[in-house]
Amino acid sequence: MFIEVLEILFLFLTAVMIVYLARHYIFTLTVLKNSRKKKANPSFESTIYRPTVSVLIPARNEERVIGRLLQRMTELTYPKDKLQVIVVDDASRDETGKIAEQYSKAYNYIKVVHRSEREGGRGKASALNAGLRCADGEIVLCFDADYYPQRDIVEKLVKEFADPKVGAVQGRVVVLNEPQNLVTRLVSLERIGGYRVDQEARDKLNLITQFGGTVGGFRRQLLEELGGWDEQMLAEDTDLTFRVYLAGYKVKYVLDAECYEEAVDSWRAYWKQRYRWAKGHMQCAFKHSLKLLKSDKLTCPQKIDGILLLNVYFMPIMVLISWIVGIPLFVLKFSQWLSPFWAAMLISFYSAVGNFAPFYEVGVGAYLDGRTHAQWLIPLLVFAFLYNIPICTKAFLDLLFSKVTGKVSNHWEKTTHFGNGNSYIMKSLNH
Amino acid sequence: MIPSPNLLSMITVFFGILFFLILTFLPSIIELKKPKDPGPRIIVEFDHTYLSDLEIEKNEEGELKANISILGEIMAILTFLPDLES
Repeated sequence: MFIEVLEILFLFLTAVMIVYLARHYIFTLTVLKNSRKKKANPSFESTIYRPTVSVLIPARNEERVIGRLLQRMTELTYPKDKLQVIVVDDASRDETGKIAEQYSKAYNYIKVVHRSEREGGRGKASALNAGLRCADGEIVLCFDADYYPQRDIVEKLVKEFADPKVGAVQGRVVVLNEPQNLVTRLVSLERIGGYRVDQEARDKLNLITQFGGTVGGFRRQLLEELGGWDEQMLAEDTDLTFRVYLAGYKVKYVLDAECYEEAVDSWRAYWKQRYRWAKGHMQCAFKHSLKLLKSDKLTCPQKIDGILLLNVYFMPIMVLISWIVGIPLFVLKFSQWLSPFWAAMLISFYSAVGNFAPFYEVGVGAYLDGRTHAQWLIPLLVFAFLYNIPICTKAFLDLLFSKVTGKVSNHWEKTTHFGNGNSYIMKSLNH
Repeated sequence: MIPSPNLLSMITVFFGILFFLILTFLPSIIELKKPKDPGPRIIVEFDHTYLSDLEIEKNEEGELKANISILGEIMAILTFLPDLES
């Protein structure tokens, strides 16, 4: 009886992995198919749509990077009379506030909101809500302090709001400090898979396109109706994505609206960041799964994709359990009939490398970007995936512990940015 | 000494796994040792070009700079001409 339970569990886990495999395979084929087509010219694109825009920049101890972003804000091509930039100095202990103030004095459309030690340091969602209270643009965009966008990114993002069904937009993130070390190169590959293929395919297939928390934005009215960012959520971006869809709007992905980010550059920083993402995503899975299934505003494919997206951080745990269950079943030869499924098991595992964006997604993304040599690093993504197993397991156990005991521990582990990308920006601008 | 079939199969499996690992990770090791990838992708000002391409652009820019300096000299002559007339 015990062996049969293990066999059923093993088959269930393998089936789930194959579903994810099929999903990513469909995404990859969709993007490949669309890449050959000439870019369609939607009617909204020709419309000159210039709403007032508020750009929110939450910043906590970002003195090494905030200056370059604010400088970039002054170089944006969007009409300055329709632009408002709000820097939320979230109780910084360094020169962030002073740098922001200097820009505020020089440019009347840049405003600084200083938060005291008592108010600040409660996470990004809290800082963004503080910024939102001062925003008066029709559209609210967000950029992290370590980001560096294209000059015309605002035009590219806001034009999508001409469609009344669009409640939020998301642009593409590109890793700036990619050549720095192995971690940044692997993160860059993950980003290529995620943004060049995954997000693009979900947008094309009209599934759940994800707002990534930065390089994107919302209609202010909708954001206010939704109550702003949920400060209890660690993945406030995923949470808001689902609240937008449940409200009957959609998130539009804009592939050509690109922005640099400074990726984490050590395995320790990678752990902190992914732990926060994993725990936050799992919080969202508990919060939204049932609502998603019950919603009458979403299509059936959107519901399926939404459930798969919400539960994506459970995948490494599932792989771990399938090993724990599957290896004894195979080695001890308890189950002879199960052995053919090992092929499926291995395929599923291999497809799962690349931190939830399977290897062919990363490969095709790199191919479409013309990055043939970057593809050579794809096998190393298996180590990133293996590293994610303890991260996601710990995140799940901590979340479970807090659910059982009622002790909520949503401490925001902020990623430290060292300004390592500055040299790459200088290099490109000098040319 | 002829190895026992058991030992032989173990050696085969060992070298098989080793060969598989080398085959899988060799391209990655080569790329890490001598990176040929032109990343990061340049999105600012230069669409769909890479940092390494800039070396080539540098030469073209060099020529452009020369043209600009010639234009500057022409401008200087042109501004000087009215003075000659007077």
